[in-house]
Amino acid sequence: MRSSRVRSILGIFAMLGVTAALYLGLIWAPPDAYQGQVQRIMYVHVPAAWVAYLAFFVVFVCSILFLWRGSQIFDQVAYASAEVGVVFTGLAILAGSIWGKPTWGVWWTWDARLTTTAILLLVYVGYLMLRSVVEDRFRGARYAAVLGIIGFIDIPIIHKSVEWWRTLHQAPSVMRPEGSTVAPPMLFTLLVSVAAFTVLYLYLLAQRLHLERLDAEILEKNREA
Amino acid sequence: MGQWNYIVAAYLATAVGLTGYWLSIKRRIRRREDLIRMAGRDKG
Amino acid sequence: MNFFQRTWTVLWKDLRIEGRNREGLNTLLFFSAILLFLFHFALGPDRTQIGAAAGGLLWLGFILMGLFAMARTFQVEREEECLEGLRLLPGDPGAIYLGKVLWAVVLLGAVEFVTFLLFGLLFSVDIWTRLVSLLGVAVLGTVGISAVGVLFAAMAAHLRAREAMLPLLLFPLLIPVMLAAIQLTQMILQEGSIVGQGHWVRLLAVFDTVFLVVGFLTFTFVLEE
Repeated sequence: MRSSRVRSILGIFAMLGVTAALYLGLIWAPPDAYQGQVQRIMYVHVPAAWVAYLAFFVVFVCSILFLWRGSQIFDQVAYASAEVGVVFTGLAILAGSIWGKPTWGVWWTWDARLTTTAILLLVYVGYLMLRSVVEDRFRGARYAAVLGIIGFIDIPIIHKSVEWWRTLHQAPSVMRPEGSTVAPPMLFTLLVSVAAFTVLYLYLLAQRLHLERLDAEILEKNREA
Repeated sequence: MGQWNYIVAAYLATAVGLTGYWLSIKRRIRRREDLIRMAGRDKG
Repeated sequence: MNFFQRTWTVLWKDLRIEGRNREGLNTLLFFSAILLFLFHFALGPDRTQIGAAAGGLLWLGFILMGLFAMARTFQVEREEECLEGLRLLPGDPGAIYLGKVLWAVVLLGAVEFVTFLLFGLLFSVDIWTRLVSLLGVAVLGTVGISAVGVLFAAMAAHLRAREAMLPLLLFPLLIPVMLAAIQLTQMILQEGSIVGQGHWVRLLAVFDTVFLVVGFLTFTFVLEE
């Protein structure tokens, strides 16, 4: 199957998924017992965060494979996934912040999960910066792969340390952002949203990868010329 | 219902962000494809 | 030459170069003195203020010094154009990595030692009874900073925008080390012991081990032409 055909199909499924998730999240799912309607924002924040972690896991695996095997495709997927991941991380933080205002009264709090997500953003924005600053494409790929490996391994360590730090300086927050996801319709909506965002990620990844391969093609042509 | 303001804001921001990103990829792809097509024309 | 001999050669070479003009050491010592004066001016003469913030302030200083030291680890090679020479060293590039990490720990450790003494002097804090624990924590933290820092310093040695990139890439990754070191140092200064803080020590140990291994394995890719 030609790559443009694959991308179109992914795109269609992504749109279907997002539409379904929108309907479920905004209309079908019941409001939360404690948080009220605002809890619906979690159907955006949680999937976005999930996709971000997925994207960076892909970067991690591809980085290892690239260093080990040397095939350019691994590097291309890693770069593409990192960029998409940064976008979703930013969205997760944005949605989380907007949820925080009516819930906690503030736009930002140094709660463990928000802080870790913000650090995540810094790490992978750094990844993208490293890529753009290194002129030699092949050296840049290697450096980024090392960062892609180190960054991902560091994530659980960062999370733990921020969590412990937080409990030192403030009591752990009582409210879990997902709300009472015990309720089946809410859990269902959440799962559909996560699935929809995952397909959307795959679509965006495919498009961004196509861009990467075009760049490689141009580089090749320049070299031949 | 002040709550719905926040919900709309969050959903809208996400939609705008994702669409904007998607468009930026599309735009960059189009530019590359134009470049390749023009290069082909020059050579041929 | 076996692995340990090679590691020692790298370390010894850097020690001797530094010993000749002591530029790095002097700069760091001077920096540490300025830092302590800044603490005083920033927080005022109130001893309780400084007491509450000492751990954080000291490690803010240490990480800034660490960043400077990291940039310096390959500076000599870069200035004298002997990066090539490093690469041609026969055998495991991991030995170069470890040699550089040890060198960084020695250099920073010496400065941290002096900083603790100066701190005790300038702020009338009893340092002597706690010096061993403080240095223990300092070494654990510095190993962590160096394990990751040397890897990225080697990358930065090849980049034009090197100095700017290093702190941007390193700092988010080193947050767990910072949090652990700050908390432990604060406890030692205030309580004299680290009872109940064992988890932070474990975190540092895990961080150091994990990233020494990762650094050791990936250094060869950073050194490649």
